[in-house]
Amino acid sequence: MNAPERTDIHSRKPIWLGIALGLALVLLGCETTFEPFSEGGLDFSILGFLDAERDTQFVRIEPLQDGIFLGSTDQPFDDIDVTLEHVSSGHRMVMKDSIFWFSESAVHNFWTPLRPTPGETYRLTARYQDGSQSLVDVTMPDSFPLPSLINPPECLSAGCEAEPIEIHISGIDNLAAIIASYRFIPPNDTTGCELIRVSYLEEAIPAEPGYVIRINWLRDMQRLVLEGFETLDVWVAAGDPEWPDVTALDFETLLFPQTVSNIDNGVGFFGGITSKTLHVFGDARTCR
Amino acid sequence: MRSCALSLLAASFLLTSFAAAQDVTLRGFVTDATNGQPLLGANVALLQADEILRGGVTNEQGIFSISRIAPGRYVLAVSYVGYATHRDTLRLGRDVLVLQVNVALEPAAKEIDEVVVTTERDTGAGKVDAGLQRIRPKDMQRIPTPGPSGDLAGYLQSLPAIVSMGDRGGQVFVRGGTPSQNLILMDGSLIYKPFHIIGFFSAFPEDLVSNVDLYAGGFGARYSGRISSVIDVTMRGGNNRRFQGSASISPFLTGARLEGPIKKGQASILGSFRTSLIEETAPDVLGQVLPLRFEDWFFKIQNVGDRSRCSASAMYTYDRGRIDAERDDVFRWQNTVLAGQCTGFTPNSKVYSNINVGFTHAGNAIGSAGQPERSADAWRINVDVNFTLIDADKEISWGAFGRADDLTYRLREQFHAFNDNEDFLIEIGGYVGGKWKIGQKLDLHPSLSLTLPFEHKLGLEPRLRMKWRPWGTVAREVSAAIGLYHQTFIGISDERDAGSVFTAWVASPLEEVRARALHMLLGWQQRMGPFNLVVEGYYKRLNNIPVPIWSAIARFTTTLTSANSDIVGLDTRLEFQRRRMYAYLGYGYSWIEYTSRQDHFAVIADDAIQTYHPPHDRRHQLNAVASWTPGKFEASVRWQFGTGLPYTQPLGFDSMIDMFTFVSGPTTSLGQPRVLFDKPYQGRLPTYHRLDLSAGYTFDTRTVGVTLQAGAINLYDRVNLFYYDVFELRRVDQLPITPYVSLKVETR
Repeated sequence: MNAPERTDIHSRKPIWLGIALGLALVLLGCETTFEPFSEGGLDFSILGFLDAERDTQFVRIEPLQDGIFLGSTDQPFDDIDVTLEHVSSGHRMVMKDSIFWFSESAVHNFWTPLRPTPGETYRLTARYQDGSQSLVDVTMPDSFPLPSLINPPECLSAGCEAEPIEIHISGIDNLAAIIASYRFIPPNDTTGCELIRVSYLEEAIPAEPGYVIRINWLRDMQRLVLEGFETLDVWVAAGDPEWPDVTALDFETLLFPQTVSNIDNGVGFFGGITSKTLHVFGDARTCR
Repeated sequence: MRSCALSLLAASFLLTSFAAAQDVTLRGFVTDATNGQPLLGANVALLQADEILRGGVTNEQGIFSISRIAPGRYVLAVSYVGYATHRDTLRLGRDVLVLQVNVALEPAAKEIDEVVVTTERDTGAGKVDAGLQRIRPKDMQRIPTPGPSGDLAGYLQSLPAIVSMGDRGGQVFVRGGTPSQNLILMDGSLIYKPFHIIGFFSAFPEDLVSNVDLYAGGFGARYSGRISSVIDVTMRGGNNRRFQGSASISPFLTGARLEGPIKKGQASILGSFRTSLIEETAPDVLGQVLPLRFEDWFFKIQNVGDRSRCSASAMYTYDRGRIDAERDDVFRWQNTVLAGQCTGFTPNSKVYSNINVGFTHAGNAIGSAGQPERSADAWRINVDVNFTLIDADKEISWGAFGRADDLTYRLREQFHAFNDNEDFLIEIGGYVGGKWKIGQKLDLHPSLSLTLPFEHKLGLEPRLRMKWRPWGTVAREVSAAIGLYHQTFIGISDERDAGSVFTAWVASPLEEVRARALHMLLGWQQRMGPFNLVVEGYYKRLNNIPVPIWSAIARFTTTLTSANSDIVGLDTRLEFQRRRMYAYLGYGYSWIEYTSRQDHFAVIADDAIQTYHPPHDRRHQLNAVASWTPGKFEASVRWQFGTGLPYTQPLGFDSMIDMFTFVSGPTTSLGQPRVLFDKPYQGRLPTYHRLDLSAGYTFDTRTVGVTLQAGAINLYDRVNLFYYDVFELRRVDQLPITPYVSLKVETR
């Protein structure tokens, strides 16, 4: 009785072995899932600032892992809610998505009509419908007095007094920007004035009760290979308490997400500024 | 430096004279009688009354030398597996100082097991002497390759010490070193990028190679200029007895070879041409586009005299293709090598000399054919002379070299300034070394290399290799090596991008400080009947390695900085060989850590000094090979497994607006698109494994042999990730199951 059973077992063994081997090969060949992104828990990239001198505020918000660089979606996001909340009053504004095109790349800039109040705190929240969110609180800097012009220039062209123009700034704890805006008439061009901006942030000298800057217009003129400037305005901005000092950083370093970021569950920077414009020379309205 | 060269020359004459004053020396070449090829590893024994008095083994030139023989009557026996043993009676008189006997062995009709001298097995994966492994064509034959014959590239990838990034690109990393840290020689002259763009193939197919010495580390002072490894390939010459030819075809490549005598029994010529076909056949065979192409040409003229063997070799290779078929980046590289080589005996002395003269050009580029975005070229002219004195159990070798290198690169990146450079380098140097056998148990190989690149400091590189047989038998052996190494110029490639194989060669880019290395190796070999076990541990410390700084912007024209590399590894092999069965199991453990100081690190990781594992840090690697050759049938199988390679994980994408200087804002500028990376190389790609299989049969007639081979690469169709394109959010996979049939026709 046993002999036929043994024969039966032996005859089946190669079949089972074959099936097992085949199954093993199939399993070995299975595709493995691969999750390339770091499990950093970061949702959004947020870049922008609230400007107490403007009536409409813009902030760029992009989901971090939804596409390749930019422009992967040129439609408004329908699953993302962005709000700006005035913390002390609890008043919440929904920011609207708008698509801005730069060359062939589309970016999402959210906006809301608002003139932020100096000294007040605002909370920006970008939230997916599933509840994951990135947020940041911004306390607007206090307003500050109009900077003082120490030696107003008589003209800004070759043959004029070459001394730098000295300006005193006070009432600012955290200097965010100093921009010299020159208007000039391009050579062989009769279409009107052109505008060029030069940052003087790195040249600000701390001096009680604030900063001193010297606008070296002659140097700027020579660098730009121009014969003179028609107007000069100096724009000074105070940043919120978290506004970073970027003067020591090169742009390459600035590009690292860890360098400057104040976003919870996200990357980027969202700050606040108040600003003043000092008219140093000429009338911008006459040179457009 | 001139005084150094003169001293070396004087030493050569002194040693030559000294050698001439000793007892009788017996020396000669051992060759295959059917084709005139030198036989490496042939046993040569001197017998008296059937007792072995002295013995030796031929080197890669087929040279043997037995010295300090007392005058008398002896029997010279020369044997080699697969050949009939040659016996000759010699009468050595007092009037003869040096007797030259050249032996041509006839193949045996039946394999004869007679081995006159018990020597070490010197080839195969199971034989590693302090980092040195000898590779023969039959070793390559055992690895399934989708072509008509085996190839060095396929074989190297089956070794635990060697990592390739994938089945495309031709990048080979030896025990933690990068491709540009490997010294690859073809008949004594440098070749830069001999591995083809399709990873199974190189310029060294089985049927053109005579011997390969692979030093995974710890190499002696004869080799200089590289800090990681040496792959010294000796190509075979043509048949100097009769004309032979072959033609082959497979879905991957086709080729032809022709060889024959120019002067029968003395001078021969060999020519070979191969070109890939996979670009045309891939859509049908693989069901996908594979825009990869390569070709190689090889010619060798060889003259065999009584006392010398000279050859002239020419090699040209060309590779072109897109590593990622969906990207526009087209890579191209080509090598041109002209190598002249002469080896011969100095009359009436125990010294034999070797001279190499070479010209090398390598070029590589990426971009369109007419206007490459990046290109780099390296030119070299080199001369080296080497002398070896064999005296009883001692061997002294010394030599000198001179080489001139011209290195140029042109990097044109979008939005960046042109970046061109040219370096011209002259380097001279020399070495002296010896081999001392101390009793039956200890062999010492000390050597000292001296290198003087102009505009750099003199480099002294002491090295020591040794073997210790505690029980006096080669069956159990300890081997060790330690040494210092310098590298004057180095290849820069973008290690952040696995899909890029472009290399720019530059002369010591970091404040003209040369890259240097320390190697330490310790191994144990155990022979157990048909089994060979090798366990070898190694440590390499590489200093001043140029690496690109860490950047959030992907571009090639980036600043370089220095890194130091610590490499610790274990290479374990178990080999089985009995009659027609061969099996091999290899396990490699490797731990590679780079330490680099970069200012950016202080920003992204709080400390300017960071350590990370580079993208070739394959921690565990397992290879299993088996082959069976019953008569005219042969079958082989290989399985390989590797743990995932490091890569840098992205956090996501955005654009960085330069709003801090108020040059732009969200509404006025796109900003700088950036990939947001996590810390360097914190992630690991998935594990990799693959099974390859081949079987073939040779039909023999009196005039031709026809070999039909069939097989498959990646038999179980494993989806192996080659690399992940973080810019396109797309995986680039290695080859799927690749069946093939190949045909080779060879005249007999």
